[in-house]
Amino acid sequence: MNCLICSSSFLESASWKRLFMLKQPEVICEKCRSKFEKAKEKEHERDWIGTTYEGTLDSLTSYYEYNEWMKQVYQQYKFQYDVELSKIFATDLHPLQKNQDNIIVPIPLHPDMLKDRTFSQVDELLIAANVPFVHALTKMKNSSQVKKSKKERMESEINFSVCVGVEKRSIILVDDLYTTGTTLRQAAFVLKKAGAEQVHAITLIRA
Amino acid sequence: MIEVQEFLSGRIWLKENTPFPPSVIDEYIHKGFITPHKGIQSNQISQIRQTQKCRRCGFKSLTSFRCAKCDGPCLYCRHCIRMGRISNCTELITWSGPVVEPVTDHIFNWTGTLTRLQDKASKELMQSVLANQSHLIHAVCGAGKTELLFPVVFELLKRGKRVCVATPRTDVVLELAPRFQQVFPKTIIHALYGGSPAYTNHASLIIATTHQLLRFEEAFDVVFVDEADAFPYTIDEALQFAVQKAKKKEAVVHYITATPSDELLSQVDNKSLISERFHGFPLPVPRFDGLWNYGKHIKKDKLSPKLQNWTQQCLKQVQPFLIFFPTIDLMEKALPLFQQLHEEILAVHAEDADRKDKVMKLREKKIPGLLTTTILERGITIPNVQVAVVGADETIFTSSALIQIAGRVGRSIDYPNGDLVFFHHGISFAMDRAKATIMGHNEKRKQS
Repeated sequence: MNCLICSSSFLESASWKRLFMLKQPEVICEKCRSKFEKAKEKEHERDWIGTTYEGTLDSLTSYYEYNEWMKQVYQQYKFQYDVELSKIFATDLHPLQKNQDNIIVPIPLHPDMLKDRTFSQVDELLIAANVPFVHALTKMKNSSQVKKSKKERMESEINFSVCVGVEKRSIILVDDLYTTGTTLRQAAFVLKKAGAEQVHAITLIRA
Repeated sequence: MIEVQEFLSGRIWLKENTPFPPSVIDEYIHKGFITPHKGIQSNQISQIRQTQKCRRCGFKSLTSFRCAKCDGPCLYCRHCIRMGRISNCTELITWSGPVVEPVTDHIFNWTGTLTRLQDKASKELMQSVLANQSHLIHAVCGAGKTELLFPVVFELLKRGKRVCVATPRTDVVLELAPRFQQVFPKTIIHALYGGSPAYTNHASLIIATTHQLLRFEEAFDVVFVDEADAFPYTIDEALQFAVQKAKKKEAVVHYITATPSDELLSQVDNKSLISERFHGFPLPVPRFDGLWNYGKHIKKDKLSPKLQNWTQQCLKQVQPFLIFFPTIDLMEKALPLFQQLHEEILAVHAEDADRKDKVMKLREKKIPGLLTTTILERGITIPNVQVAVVGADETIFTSSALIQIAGRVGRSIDYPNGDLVFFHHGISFAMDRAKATIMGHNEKRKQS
């Protein structure tokens, strides 16, 4: 096997988990793997106290820090369209497979954006990990949060609508990057308005 | 039109990624001045089998994915992805309109002189170039290979030819480009490497990494490949493909190196050999010194006394030094041990962002010495440098790597000698071969 990031060849050590297909095959070498940094526990609610979004998210879990290495790898995935790199994080999202009671909902791209990018970076992460999901949200306007300031982001208009029934259901929202948390809170807000009981969020990276 | 013509002539470019608005590109396609190509080329090899390859880099192991643009399965190339992704649904474009008017007005601003051997090789190269036959300049490290190219390149430029000097190493591009610009002050020269500025005009002379040649197609009348045996050119087929694709169909490729492979030597008919350095002194010959269990020592946080003595000798006599290591891991384990001898000793490797800076510091004597991997085996000149190789018997130190490393010593006319030691755990075939080759050159030098 050649590492998807540095192309050097490597051998994955044998294990019972691998033998019984309980673990996804490793796609990057140990050295590249070791440069990712597990996300530290961080407070995420404080900025939102007193706003309409207070308490919309019932929990937030992030897997990785947005360190230089992650920036570089994620850049290649999302902006150079290297779809194959979604496999790197399959082991992290893999446990979501066992989830029975919650609906897993990825944050969507606007259809025009999806066509431009040729793939949805969040969907592909879930597909690589064999996690079933539902497209319960649609993005209404093709706009990006990237160039906005923190304040502009937090006050931006809601850009999602709910397109399937979610009444009395518990939802797990999945996104790639948590920055200010506006996207996830807007999505959670419309889902709760549509009758969802709980909305939890999982992101690959915490910036 | 001139802008599009100048930019696109000889290039192969992603359609969606040009400096011009899409409407302009479409208009030229309509006129037949621009030809679009499918990003992934299909080849029907039999009735039931077809192969696919990337139109830009020739890579065949393509990656499949579900594409939202073509609404179904699609293929993309991971090999050249850093230049913008090529997939089934992307298009590459080339210029097929009127040919760019050749520039024949160039100034040759070179006051240096060639040694007798350089001059002879330069004239032989000129003959081959004008006869359009491939030529190999086999010249020892420090022979002055670049200078002997100048008269040949000037002759070609005067004739309105488009010339390319390609090399596998970015460091070499960065070193060559300013020298050529100084010698040809009026000529438009582009220096191309990963992260270089984006030029949109038309250059008569292009100095580029072989990797950047992937972005050219049938562009050059003559291509010189400098350091043709350097990593990764020899192992990456796409780079050899790039050179072949970048030249015009009838054009030939010339090679310049201190360490040609047997393959290259047998491929090329016309050869010039320079066994003498420009300053006339013989090449320093490596001495072999047993350094047993160096790996174990370093892992136990100990430096072998021999290595310690060698380093202290350099420090005492204030001579800059390079110590080569077979792996980054071993080098990084050894660094703190060397820093106990002198805290300003630093280490460099290929991914080190401060590489240029650290080499500069050594040259300016701001630091006493550097630990390095094979990344510094070529392209650097540091007056009076002393060189040691730790674990010279490791497979990464091929005979050409060892010859190149040896070539760092004694390059300047003020210090034509210096210590060159291969510390080993048993003498390898490559070490013997390197030493024999170096001694062979010195023998040859005496005869000529």
